[in-house]
Amino acid sequence: MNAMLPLLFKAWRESRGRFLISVALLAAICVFGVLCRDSLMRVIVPDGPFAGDAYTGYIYLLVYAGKARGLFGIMVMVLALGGLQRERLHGTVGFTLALPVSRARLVSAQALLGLGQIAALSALPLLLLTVCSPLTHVSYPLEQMVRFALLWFAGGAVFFAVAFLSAALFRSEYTALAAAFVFIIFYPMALLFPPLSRYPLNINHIMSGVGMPYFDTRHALLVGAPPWTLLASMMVMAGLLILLAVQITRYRDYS
Amino acid sequence: MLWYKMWRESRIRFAISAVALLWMCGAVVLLQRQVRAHADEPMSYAHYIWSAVYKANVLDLYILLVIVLGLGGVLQERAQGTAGFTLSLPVSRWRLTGVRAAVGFIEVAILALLPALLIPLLSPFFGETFPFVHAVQFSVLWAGGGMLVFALTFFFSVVLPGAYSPAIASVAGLMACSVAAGLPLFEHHAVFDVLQTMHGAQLSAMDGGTALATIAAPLPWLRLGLYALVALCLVGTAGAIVARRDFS
Repeated sequence: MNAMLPLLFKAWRESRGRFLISVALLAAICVFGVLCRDSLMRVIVPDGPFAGDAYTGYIYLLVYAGKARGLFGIMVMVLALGGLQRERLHGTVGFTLALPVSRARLVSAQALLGLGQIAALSALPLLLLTVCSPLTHVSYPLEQMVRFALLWFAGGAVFFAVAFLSAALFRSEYTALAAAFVFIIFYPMALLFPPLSRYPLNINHIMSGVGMPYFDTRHALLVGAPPWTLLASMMVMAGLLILLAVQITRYRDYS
Repeated sequence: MLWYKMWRESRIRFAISAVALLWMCGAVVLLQRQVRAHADEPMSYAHYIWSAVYKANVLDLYILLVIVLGLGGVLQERAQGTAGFTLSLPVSRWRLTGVRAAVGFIEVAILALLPALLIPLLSPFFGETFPFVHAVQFSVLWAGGGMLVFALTFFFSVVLPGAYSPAIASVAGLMACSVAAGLPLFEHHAVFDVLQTMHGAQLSAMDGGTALATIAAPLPWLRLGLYALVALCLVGTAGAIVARRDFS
């Protein structure tokens, strides 16, 4: 554990710029969305497609199923990039590999910090909507925000793991980014083919609840118990992909 | 030689982009019967292609890939320690920037043309048709909007350090643009909504909102011209910044 803290700090120094930009952008959408809701509601929910509270439907379409979720998916992937392949390009990989820690530990610290950053980003709408909504005399159910944060974290972890693996596989940082972006669009499309089409595997839908049994489309609210099995499966999938990236890094020649 | 250097730097990204776009367009055509059968309302093949390729998934992919193509440049080379070699080539910095932008613009245009080549060619194998001329019209819109997106990322690559910051800034800029275009202040100025222009909704003559019967309207040449002008201005500004910057 003693060696882990400096490694986490190193990983933080490398990704903090991207993380802080992600926080700023996500925060801008949430705060701007709440403060300018009168104008934006006319654009985003013009016909009042939901039966319940209009503000609940609006926040759902703007944040949990809209632009904020799309941005979250992209940011999470960008956060996962970097690592030893990038350091090799910059000529600093020798210094990093000369540290008295194993490669597995190096990469694990990066993954661990990334998951922590995803958790923080997932919880950000919860924090901001809780603070900002009362300022404009509206409210969004706290329990809904906690549930969505859970879904975002599990979905974000899978996206992160895919980009993390891509960063371990490709030598060019831009190729890794392109591959990660292709996955974002390619993957939901691939799920339309049988036999995958029979299962609820679309992470975008899992995160926003679209077409899921735990989502009430009429009121734009999550209902019933959280889908624990689904969440656990996604975390296992993310773990396996990260493990694969660790194994690839262990045996790779960075000279 | 400079053209070859710029091509070498971007060819893997371009190849991945081309393969991904072709695969996506192929999958859309392949899945047409299945998706249309599960649609809420009856949907013509042309409308299906428009909503799956030109309005939604494939367009999103195209925009993200264009952003990735716009990344790179001397500022990023400095981080890798190769900026000195590039700057010592016997060409001006203006020419370096210009050639990189030109190669990028050509790649963006070729990527925009891929759906127009594949979809009309593939459709008859599934008992459907999609006119090549219509597909090319959408490609022109993609190329016009794509050049603006590319130029935006190109500009950010010159002013923002770090490999990924320009990509994040471009995604954020496009999202902000899309939200702002819906606000009362800008809603009557369609030129601000780049994504809407690229959708090509204004080109489609809808029959009862569900069928894309014909492509009736002319292309928005003025809007596309404006985008080209803004793209050139962004590249020009990027060139001026590179010409004056100290990369040591």
